[in-house]
Amino acid sequence: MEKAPSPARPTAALLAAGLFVLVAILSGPGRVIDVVAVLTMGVFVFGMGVATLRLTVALLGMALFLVFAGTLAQVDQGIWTVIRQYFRCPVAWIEIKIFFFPRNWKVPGQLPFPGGWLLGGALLVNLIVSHASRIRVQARGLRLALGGVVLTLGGILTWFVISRVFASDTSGATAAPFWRVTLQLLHGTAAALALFLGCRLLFARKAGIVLLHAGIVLLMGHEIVTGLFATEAVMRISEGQTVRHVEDTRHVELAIVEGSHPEFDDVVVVSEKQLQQGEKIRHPELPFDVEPAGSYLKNADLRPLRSGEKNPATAGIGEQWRAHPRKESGGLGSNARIDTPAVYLTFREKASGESLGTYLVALEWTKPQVVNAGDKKYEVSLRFRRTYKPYSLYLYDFRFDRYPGTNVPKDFSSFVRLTDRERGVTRDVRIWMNNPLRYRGDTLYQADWDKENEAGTVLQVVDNESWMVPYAACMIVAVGMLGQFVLHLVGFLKRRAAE
Amino acid sequence: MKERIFFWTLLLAAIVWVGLSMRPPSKPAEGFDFHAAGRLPVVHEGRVLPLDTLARNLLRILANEETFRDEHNRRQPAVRWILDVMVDSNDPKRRAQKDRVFRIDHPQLVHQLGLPPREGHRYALEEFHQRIPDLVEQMTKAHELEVKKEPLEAYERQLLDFEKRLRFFISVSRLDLPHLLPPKAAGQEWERFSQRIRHGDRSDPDVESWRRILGAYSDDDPAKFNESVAAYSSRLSRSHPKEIAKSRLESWFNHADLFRTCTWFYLAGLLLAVLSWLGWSRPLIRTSFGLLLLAFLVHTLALVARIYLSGRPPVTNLYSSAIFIGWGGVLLCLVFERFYRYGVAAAVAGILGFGTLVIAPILAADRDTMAVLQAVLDTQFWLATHVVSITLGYATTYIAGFLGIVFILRGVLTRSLTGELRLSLTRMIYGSVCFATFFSFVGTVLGGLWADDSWGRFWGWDPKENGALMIVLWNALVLHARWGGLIRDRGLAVLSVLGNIVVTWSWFGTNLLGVGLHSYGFNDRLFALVVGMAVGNAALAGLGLVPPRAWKSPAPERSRAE
Repeated sequence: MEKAPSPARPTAALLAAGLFVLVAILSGPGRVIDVVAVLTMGVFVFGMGVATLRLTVALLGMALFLVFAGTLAQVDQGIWTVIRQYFRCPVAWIEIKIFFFPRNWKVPGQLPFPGGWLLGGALLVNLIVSHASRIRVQARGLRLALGGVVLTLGGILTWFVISRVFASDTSGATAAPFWRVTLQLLHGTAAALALFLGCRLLFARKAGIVLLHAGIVLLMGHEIVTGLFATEAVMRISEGQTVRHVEDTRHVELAIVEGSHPEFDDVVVVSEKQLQQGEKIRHPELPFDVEPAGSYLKNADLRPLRSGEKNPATAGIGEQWRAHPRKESGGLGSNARIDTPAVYLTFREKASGESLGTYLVALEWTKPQVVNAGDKKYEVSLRFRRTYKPYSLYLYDFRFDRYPGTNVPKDFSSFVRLTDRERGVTRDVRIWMNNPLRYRGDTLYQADWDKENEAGTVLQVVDNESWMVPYAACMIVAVGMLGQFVLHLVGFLKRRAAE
Repeated sequence: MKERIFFWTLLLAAIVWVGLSMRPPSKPAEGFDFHAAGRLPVVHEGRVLPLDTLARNLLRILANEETFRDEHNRRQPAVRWILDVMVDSNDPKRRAQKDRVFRIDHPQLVHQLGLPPREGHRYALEEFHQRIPDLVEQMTKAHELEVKKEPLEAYERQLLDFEKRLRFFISVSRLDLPHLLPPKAAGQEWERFSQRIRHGDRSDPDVESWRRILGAYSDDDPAKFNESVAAYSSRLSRSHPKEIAKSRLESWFNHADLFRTCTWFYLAGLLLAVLSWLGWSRPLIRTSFGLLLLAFLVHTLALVARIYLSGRPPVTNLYSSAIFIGWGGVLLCLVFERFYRYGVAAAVAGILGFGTLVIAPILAADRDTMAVLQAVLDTQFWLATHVVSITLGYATTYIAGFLGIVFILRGVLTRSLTGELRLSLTRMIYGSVCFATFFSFVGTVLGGLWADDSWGRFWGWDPKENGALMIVLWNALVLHARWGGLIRDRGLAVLSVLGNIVVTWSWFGTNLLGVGLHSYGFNDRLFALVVGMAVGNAALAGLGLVPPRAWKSPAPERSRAE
C-alpha cells in the first residue's frame, strides 16, 4: 500500500493534460505539437507519481481507450493508415465521427490523444521505475550469488532462444506446424523457467511479478523494434519463373533499363520522392535528363483520350490515354485498394537539351515503353519499389485445394526451388498456409495467388530478425503469472487448512 | 431427513430425465420412419452430415426453427419437409407446397404477397407463389443496390433474404442440393443427384437406391419407403462405414438435443441458488450444486460429441465459442462453489450456463455450426490453444462480472452482504480477475504467434486482436487499481461489472464492424445483444456507485476491508 500523496500534484497533472488538449485543438497536428505532447506526458507522469500504481491505472485506461478508438477507425480506414495515425505515433488524432453509428452522420472534429509511442513509453518508464524503487533483492550471501548466477544463465538462454541458436534456418517449411510451434514455445518455456528460478532466489515472494513484467517489457520492446525496422514486401512468381527481388507495394519507383549488353542490364532507378519533388533528374549513366511534366499523380485514373482533349504526352502510350487524378485509397487494409500512380515525363538530351518526347508512365502499365537516345534503346516503366535478395526462388507449381463441393479454400501451396549462390544452397521447398519458409532473416509466407489462372503465387516476405521474441516473451509472462498465482494459491490453501 | 429427501428426489428425477432424453428414437410401428431417413449421410458445403442436420439447418434458414407445421397445423420433423421438397416435382399430393415453412414477418412483404396475418408468421408456398413474379423487379433493384454497396432499407434486406430462401427451396427440389451420392471410388468426391443423372450410366446402384426411396415417398408407400431406406443404409455401412457411423451419431446428437437439457438444468440450478439466499439455504445449495454438476457433465458430453463429429477443437466459430465459454465458466464457478458454499458461485454458474446456451443459436446466425473453415483459420494446433485460451479468458472475465453484479445487488437491495460472505465474494472476484488476466494474456499472445506463423506479422491491430488486448488491459487495470489501494471491495465489484462490457465487445461486438479476418458475420440481433449488455451492465455498475450509506448492507469497518 502506498502512502497517501498530496492531491495537489495529480491535480496539476490533470490540468496539464487538459491544457494540452486545448492547445493541440487550437494549433492542429504538427511536429511542434508532438514535442509539446511529449513534454506534457512528462508533466503528467511526474504529477501522478512516476512509480505509482495510480499512474499505471491511468495509463492502462488511456491505452484501452486508444485501442478501442483504433478499432472503430478501421471501419472507414485501411489498417496501415490506422496504425500510423493511432498506434505508431506520438499524438493520435481521434476522429469524433468514429464513435457514431450509423456512419453517414458525418460528425466533424478530432480529439488529440496520446498515441501509441507516447503511452507505451510512459508505461515502460512507469513499469521500470516502480520496479526499481519498490522491489528489493531479498537474498543474502550464498543465495544472492546463486540467484545472480541462475538469473544470468536464464538471460543468456533467453538470448539464445531469441537469436534462434537452437532453430535451424529453414525450419519453417520442414516440420509440421504443431511440432514447430510447440518446440519454439518449449524453448521459451525453458528459458522462462530458468529466469523464474533466478527470480525466486533473488526476490522471494515477488519473483513472479518481476518476471512477468520483464516479459512485458520484452514484448513492448519487440513492438517498437518491429514498428521501426521490420519491412514487409511481396514476391510474385509465375510458374516456371525465377525471381530474386521483392516488391514494396506501398512505394513505387521509375526504372530505366538499357539492355544492349548480352550478360547484364544497366538499370537506373528513380525514387518516388524525387518524382514527387518535380525537379529535373540527372544521372551520369543516362544520356538524357528526366523532367517531370506536370505534378505527380499519387493515384491516377487512366481513360482513353477524347478527341480535342489537351494532351501533354507526345510519345508512347500517352498518345492514346490520359491520366486523371483520383482520390487516394486508404492504405493497405484488408479491404482497401492499392494506389496506382502515374506521371508525365519529358526526356531531354543532355548535350543539346532537345526533347526526346513526353511520355506518360503509369503503374497500371507493366509493359515498359521505349525511349530512343542515339543508338541505344531505354526501357522506361513505373513499378513497385524493388529490393534484391541474395537468394532466388523458382516456382515449379502453385496448388490450390478446396473443400469438396465448395469454394472454401482448404490449402494453398507453392512448390519452389531455393537457390543461394553465395552460400551454395539449392533446395526444393514447399511453402503453404501456416508453413512459411524462414531463410536468412526473412520469412516467406503463402499470401495470395494469381486470381486469373491460378498459375502464379504471391509470397509475403517479412524481414524481421526479432520474430522469436514473442515466443520467449509469451512464456516468460505466462510462467511469471502462473508462478505468482501458484505462490498465492499455496498460501491461501495453507491459510484455509489452518482455519 | 427432509433435506435428504428433497435433494435425492430432485436429483434422481433429473438423472432420469437425462436418461430419457438420450434414448435413441424408436422405430414407428406404422408410417414413414423419418428417423432412419434422417440418418442417411449426404454432403453439403464440404462436410458429410446426416440428412437430418441438413434439413434442420435449411429449415432454420427458412422458418427460423427446426421443426415445422404442415397444412393441418401439426408439428412435423425437419426430415419430412426436406423429403417433401425433394419429391416435389412428381408428388401428386404436392406436400411441399403446403408445408408452412416460410417465415415472412415484414408487414410490407406480407402485404405484397397478399397473405393473411398469422401468429408465428409461417406461410406455405401455395399461399403466395402466384405473387412472386410481381416481386422480381423489386428484387432486381435490391440486388443492384447491394452490388453497389448502397445502404439497404429493412424491406429490401427482407426481400433479398426471401429470395435467398426461395433459391434454397428450388435447389433442393431440383436435387442440386445436397450432394446425395457417395463417391464411387476412393479419391473421388460426393456428387449431386442431378449431376450423375446427366453424366453417369443409369444402372448406378446409389442413384437407383435414391430413386426407390424418393419414389416410395411420393407414392405414399411407407412400407416400401422404410424398406428402401434400410437397404440403402445397410449397403452404405459396408461401402462407407466411417461416414455412416458419424452420420448416425450426429443424427442421435440432434435428436437428444443435449444442450437443451443443459439449458433447463442450468436455469433450475440458478433458481435454486438464488432461492437459497432467502432461507433453507443448505439443502437448496446442495441441490443446486447437484443439478449444475449434472448439467455440466451433460454439457461436457455434448462438447466432446461435437469435437468428435466435427473433428476439430472445441471452438471454431461464434456458436461454439458460446458453448465453450459456458462450459469453462461453469467449471470454474463449480470449483469456487466447492470452496465457498454460499450459493453465489452456483448462481453465476447457472447464469453463465443458461445465458451462453441461450445466445449460442443467435450467434450461429442460420449457419451450419460445424461448417468447414477458411484455410488460415483451419489449423488444429492454434485453434486448440489460442482460441480455447482466449475463450477461457472471456469466461473468467464474465464470472468476475456476474459475481460483481451479485455483490452490488445483494449489497444495495438486501442486508445479506456481510462478514464472511462479503469477504468470500471479494476473494472470488479477485481470483476470477487473476485467472482472466492469465488466460486472456496467454490467449492474445498465442493469437499473435498464430498470426506470425501464418503471415509474418506478430501483431496487426486487427479488430479482434484489439478486442483481446482490451480485455487484457482491462483486467490489468482492475488488478493494479486493487493493488494500489485505489479501490476496495466495492470498487472491485463495480469495475468487474464494467468488465462484462469489455468482453462482450471483444467477443462479438467487434464482429459488427465487418472488417478484418476474424469477423464471422453480422446480424441485427447481435447488435441488440451488444447494446443491451452495455446498457445493462453500465446501469448495474452505476447502482454500485451509490454511496455505501445508501446500501442496505452495512459497510464493513475499514480495517476489515483492507
